[in-house]
Amino acid sequence: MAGLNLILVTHAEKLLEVECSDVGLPGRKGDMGILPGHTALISTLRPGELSYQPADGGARRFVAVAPGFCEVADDTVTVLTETAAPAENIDAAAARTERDELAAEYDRASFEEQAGLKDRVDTAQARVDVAGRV
Amino acid sequence: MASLIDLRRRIRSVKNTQQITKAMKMVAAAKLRRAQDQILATRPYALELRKVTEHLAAVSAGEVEHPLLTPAGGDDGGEAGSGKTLVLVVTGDKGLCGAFNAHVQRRAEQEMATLGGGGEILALGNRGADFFTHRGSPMRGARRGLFKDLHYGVAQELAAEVSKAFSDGEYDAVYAVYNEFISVLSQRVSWERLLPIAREDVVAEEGGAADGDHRDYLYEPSEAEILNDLLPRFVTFQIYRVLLESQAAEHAARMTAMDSATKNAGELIDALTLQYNRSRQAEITTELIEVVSGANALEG
Repeated sequence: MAGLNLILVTHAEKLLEVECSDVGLPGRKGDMGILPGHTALISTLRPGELSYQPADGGARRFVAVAPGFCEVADDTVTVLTETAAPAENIDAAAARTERDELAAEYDRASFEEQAGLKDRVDTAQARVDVAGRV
Repeated sequence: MASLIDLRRRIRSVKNTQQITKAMKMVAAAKLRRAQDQILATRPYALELRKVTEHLAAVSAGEVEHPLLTPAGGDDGGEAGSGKTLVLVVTGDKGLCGAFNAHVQRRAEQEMATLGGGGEILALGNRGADFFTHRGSPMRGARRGLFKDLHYGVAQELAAEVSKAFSDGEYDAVYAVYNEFISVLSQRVSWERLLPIAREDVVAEEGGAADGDHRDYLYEPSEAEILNDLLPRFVTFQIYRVLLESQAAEHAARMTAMDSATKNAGELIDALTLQYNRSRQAEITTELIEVVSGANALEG
């Protein structure tokens, strides 16, 4: 069976371009699993955990992503996000400190400011979660 | 005629200057490389973002309205506009880069004159900030030291402020004046509208979708919601791109300016050395004549 091609792009670099057999995406409305032959799809992503199963076998890989978009077409999954951190590159302790600081800031912030901070807190939380996957 | 000592001093001083300009040129070249890499690194994102936005804009044409988009009727559809325009003037933080800053400032002034009293400046970079503050031009504010550490967060912050002011109706439009990086030897001053986003901008390359089959995409959530999420990112990315372009152009301009300064210094050194040698020889000749004529007088 044909595999999926996963392309992960941030504004600073093309982080990933790999063959894989399935991709899990944190959709804005809920997690999505993409298998080969998926219909064409455009969706927004919430901060969370992207996972994929490399086609050449091996363990499932996890990447923490910031909010962004994905496009699925012709067995190619293109993910655009502002930042992305593969699990193995995350310093768990640093991620936790960052999360705690942001969470504290969020608690102090006014209602209007909270809207702007929400994604950052969630992104930090995603990093902590993903770090725990290794 | 200047004395030999004076000439030697001048040559030394010019040589020192030449060393400085040479060093600055090398530093600028290294920084330019980095700035170019940064621009190249944004390419894949830019392509993908454009692709997705194009699909959406094409699909949602006429159906979705967004405060950041041009109203379908045209710019001034009779809405109670504020009559004001915000101009983002992107200059460098430092001088010594030829006419780089001056060109942008001049263009900004021209455009401000065209806008009449309705223009307000947001100066990005120390140079423009100083210039327009001294002039007393109407300003919204200034950002200094922006290019010391230029990253995406800077653009996000700016985009948030600008988009908010725009959606709140403070401004009818937002433009940017900046130096576009064309090549190491040439920069072009560019005047670009950031907001409202014209639908044509988003779907600029009609040929891009020339493969004919407009796929039926599944949208999750709806097209409108995706577009709402996407347009602010589009603006952020535009601003980021403008800043990166300007940064690369600045380093390129500095490199060229310092290169010609080094060359000029070299020419000056050659001319001064020639003059120095001439006067030295003239002095020796005079001394010789004195000696010879003194000897002749003794013999006689």
